Amino acid sequence: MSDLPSDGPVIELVELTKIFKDFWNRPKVAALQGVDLTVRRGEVLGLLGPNGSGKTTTIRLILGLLFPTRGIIRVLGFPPRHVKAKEQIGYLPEESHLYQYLTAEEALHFYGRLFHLSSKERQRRIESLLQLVGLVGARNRPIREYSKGMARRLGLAQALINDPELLILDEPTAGLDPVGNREFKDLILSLKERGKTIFLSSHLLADVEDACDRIAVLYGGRICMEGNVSDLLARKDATQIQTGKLSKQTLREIRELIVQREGELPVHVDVPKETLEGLFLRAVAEAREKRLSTSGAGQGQLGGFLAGEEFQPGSKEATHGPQEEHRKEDHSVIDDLVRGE
Amino acid sequence: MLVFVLLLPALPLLVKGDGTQKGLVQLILTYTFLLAHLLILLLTCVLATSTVCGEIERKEVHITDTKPLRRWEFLFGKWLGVMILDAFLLLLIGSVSYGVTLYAARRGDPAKLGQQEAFKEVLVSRRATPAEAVLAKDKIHEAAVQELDAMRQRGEIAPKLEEETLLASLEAKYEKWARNIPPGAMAKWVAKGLRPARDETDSIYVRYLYQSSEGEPFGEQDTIHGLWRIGSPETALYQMPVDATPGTAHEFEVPAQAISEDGTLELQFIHESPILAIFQEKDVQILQGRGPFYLNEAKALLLLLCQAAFLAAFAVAVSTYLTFPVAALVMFVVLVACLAGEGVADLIETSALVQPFPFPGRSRYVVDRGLRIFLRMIVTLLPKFGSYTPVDLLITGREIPSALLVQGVAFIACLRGGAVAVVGCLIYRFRELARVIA
Repeated sequence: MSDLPSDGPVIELVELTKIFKDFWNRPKVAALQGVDLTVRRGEVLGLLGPNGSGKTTTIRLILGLLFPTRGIIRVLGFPPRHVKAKEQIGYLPEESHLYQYLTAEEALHFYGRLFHLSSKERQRRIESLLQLVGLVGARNRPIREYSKGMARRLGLAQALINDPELLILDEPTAGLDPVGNREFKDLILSLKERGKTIFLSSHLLADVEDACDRIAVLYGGRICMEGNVSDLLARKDATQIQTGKLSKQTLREIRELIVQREGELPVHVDVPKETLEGLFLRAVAEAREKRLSTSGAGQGQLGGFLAGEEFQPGSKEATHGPQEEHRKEDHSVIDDLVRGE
Repeated sequence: MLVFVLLLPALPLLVKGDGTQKGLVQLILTYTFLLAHLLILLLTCVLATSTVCGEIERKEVHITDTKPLRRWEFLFGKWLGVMILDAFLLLLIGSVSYGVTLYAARRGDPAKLGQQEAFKEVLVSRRATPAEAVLAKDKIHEAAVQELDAMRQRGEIAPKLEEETLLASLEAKYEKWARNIPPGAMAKWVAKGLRPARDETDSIYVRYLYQSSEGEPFGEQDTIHGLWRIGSPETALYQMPVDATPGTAHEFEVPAQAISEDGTLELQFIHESPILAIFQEKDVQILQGRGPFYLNEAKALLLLLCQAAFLAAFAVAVSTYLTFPVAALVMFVVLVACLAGEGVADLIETSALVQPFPFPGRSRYVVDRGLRIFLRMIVTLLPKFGSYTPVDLLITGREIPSALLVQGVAFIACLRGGAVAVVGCLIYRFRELARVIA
């Protein structure tokens, strides 16, 4: 990891064009037409777009699963299919393409071995990842028995097994329940804090709004908008004031003040609503306190090496002291879950 | 496959053979080996294609390929997996069939005679040395020259024909004639490079095979009588009167003292029946030594593994581009072509490939030539499994030459297998994995 240029862009797409051809080499679909995009180190970039706009194609090109018709792709300073680039990439595909006959633990060991991780280190990361995605209780079940959401959680664990510098996520929240969704956003934020770069595609705008620093909107194989989320979403012609409950008298006086100072501006007064997401999360949290549990995925615990505690670059073996305590804490949470079943 | 392995121990109870222990053991060995051969090769084709195609089709490869793994490493891993399974199955079949043949050889034989025969003539590994026919080369040459002269005088030699080629073919004709032994005549052979007798009990086997001029069918009275004289007056001379049916190989045992100090053995056959006895090249062999049978069986199975290695490499290569049903079908064609081997080659040489109907006149000739060259190329490139499946050597207790094994490893597994593997890796290297091939 340390032999990387630390300031260069993580993903660089220049004039990227992908035209799918049929058997006779006749152009059939132009999926991407001259896409220029740069993903900087440590940022979370969301690729938005309607179905069929070329999001997945872009991701597959970055991963070397497809080859560009024209244009240049550099990933972490390497061509996309270079082994050194792949060493630092984690990829969560749109659907989970996991080996159906392996159990979660076997699959993670298999992928860990492809990164030449030692058995001790693999074991440690797998424990941590299973806790993160809440699959500790299902670790010994074959993946073919998993629900779609559980398989996606395992897909995420698989993508994180090498503690990647660059995480590429194709529709990451598809198939996740709202709890998983929230956990997922927390995970992204914590990975971002550790300086990891995340490239994700989605058409669920709420996810992108919460998680991404920057977005690019893809339509018809071209990027039609790009920029910081906060800049793009800020409305410069309106002001919102939020405070405690006000009496009718106060409201009337505020309205008069606005008319007096700013002229005839439209003023809307409303009671803020809780989001459905917030409501759902609260309901689940209450149920959990009563020690109810489901048979599938448990609640994820953002701990272990993904919180940056165990696998700081260069100090992979430094896992004594406070970390030990943290792990014990994690275990007790899991124990609670298991007992609750 | 497992059913087959489980059924193996029941074989001695199921098959009858010709009533002798030797026959039973030979029959069991033949069944086991040929079935194992076919099953292993089929399994290899299906397994290798399905594992690669399936992984690409189910898109599992999308995750695996984004791990730091080179594409050829992925293919090599697939090949290795199939090979490990094959090796394990062959080991299982080999050890079970070895146990079954030992059991069959010992079973139900209180007199131990049949058992002895089976152990001496089947369950051993004896080195075979062909005996060279002693032919009067000068007489053959003389006769050929005389006929050539006669032809020249009669003006029968076409102007384009070279005389040397003609002479060679005439000599070949007379040599063939010289191998035919008329009634009452004597034929001679010499075998060289044998090991002289170690002690008085040391013995060798003479294995011979001849055809008769009468052709089929043969009744009981159609056996050929004769007298074999083995050795020379300087060493020790043994006589063996025989009364044997033509067309099948026969063996008899002789003390090894007939072999001279320098490892030479002389053989004579005095023919006593009223028909021609025809010995072809290598129809007389001396079998010597008593190597362990399991070593011979292991060699035969290793040769089988070489064939499986080639097929697995081919199947993996084919699967990098084709989808499962197509790839499996291609592999079956390849398998049949490899098994048919020589037969297909002969067929291509001897038959008309193109019918006159769609290709009139000269175009037919051109198409025929093109097709012939193409087919010949394929047949040459594909290994001929027939020459590397030495069941006949195995069941007659003859040693499988190590040279054959080396050839098998070199030509089938390494050279041809390697070539298809390289092609497969190249195709895979430049394949867009995420793209569905229409």
